[in-house]
Amino acid sequence: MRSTLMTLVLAGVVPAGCQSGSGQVTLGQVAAPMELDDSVDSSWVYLAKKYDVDGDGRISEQEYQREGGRFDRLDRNDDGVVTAADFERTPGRREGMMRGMRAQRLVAVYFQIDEPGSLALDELEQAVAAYDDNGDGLIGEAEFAAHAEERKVEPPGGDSRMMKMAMRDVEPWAALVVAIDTDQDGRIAAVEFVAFFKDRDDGDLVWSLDRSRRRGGASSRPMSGPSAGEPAPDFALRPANGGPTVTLSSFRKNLPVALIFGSYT
Amino acid sequence: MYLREAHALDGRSPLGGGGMPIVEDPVTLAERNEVAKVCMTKLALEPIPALVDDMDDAVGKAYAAHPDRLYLVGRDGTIAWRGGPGPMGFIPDELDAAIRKELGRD
Repeated sequence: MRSTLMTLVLAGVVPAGCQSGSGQVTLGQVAAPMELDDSVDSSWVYLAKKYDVDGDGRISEQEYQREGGRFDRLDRNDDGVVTAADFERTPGRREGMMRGMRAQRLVAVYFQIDEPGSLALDELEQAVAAYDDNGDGLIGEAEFAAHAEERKVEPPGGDSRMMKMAMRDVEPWAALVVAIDTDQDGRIAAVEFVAFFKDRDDGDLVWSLDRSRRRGGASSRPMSGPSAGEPAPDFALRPANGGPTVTLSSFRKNLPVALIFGSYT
Repeated sequence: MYLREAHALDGRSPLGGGGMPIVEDPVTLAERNEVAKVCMTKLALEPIPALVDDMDDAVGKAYAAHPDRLYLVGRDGTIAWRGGPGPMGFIPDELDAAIRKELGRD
């Protein structure tokens, strides 16, 4: 892809006055809100069209044929087949999702634990210790109330519409107990955070936790990503359309490179 | 840099429909490339060429970048600026400022 080098190095082309259509983009464009015209299709309609070969309104494991636990994740009611019932938007499912978002935000705001690098157990213990006045390794309601205001840090970037809905009228301590206090003793321990993050994990965090157990005080860089001043891990990857491989280090001494990581969803 | 899908329909944190695109978790690099192309088109990002992380997610892991994150790499090959972990830390204005600083155009 001929424009690869130019656009990977979009660093130099960002200043105001940059016109779209010239092959350059502004960060404002990158950050434009998603407006998707293909999003009205429901999950079930999508799956049925693709996989319900015999048209009986059920997708069997034989019809689905994608491995790696995917069928089980789609069969949300565990009845052995994937049907429309697995995708009903029940109030319970919606509330479950809201509860998860709320917990994520509260943990970030009151404990500043929102990046994988913070998942070493000793760091979780430090986060608890900041509230733990009586030194019993647990946070009780009074201890939380005594320190919540001074420890509170609103994450930058503002809230999405969804997050605003999730956070409306939330009582922080009660919501944290619901989310974190797995042994239901009304107090929060560092190990309960581990269970919380493991439960939410989609692959990366288990890896981080495993590393944190092994690392024995070594740098936590692999979990949090390289910090400013550290060498940028090199890579050689190909563009989606099959153009030539692009190697990060090939830009060295020439131009800065902006790396924008993400996915469709 | 296109990474593993954050909210694939058949993934561990599914979202889809009701304003969100419905995407299945790609199982091959060819599938991942196809989703990456759709992503770039639908989000009007084509001016930026999308590199695609391999199926072992090696680059995403090396940069702790999943589900989304921003970095600026300086001319000397070191990290000039690291954004916070996404989605909350994905703040394009911060990258904008970092780029201006790196180029001496504050």
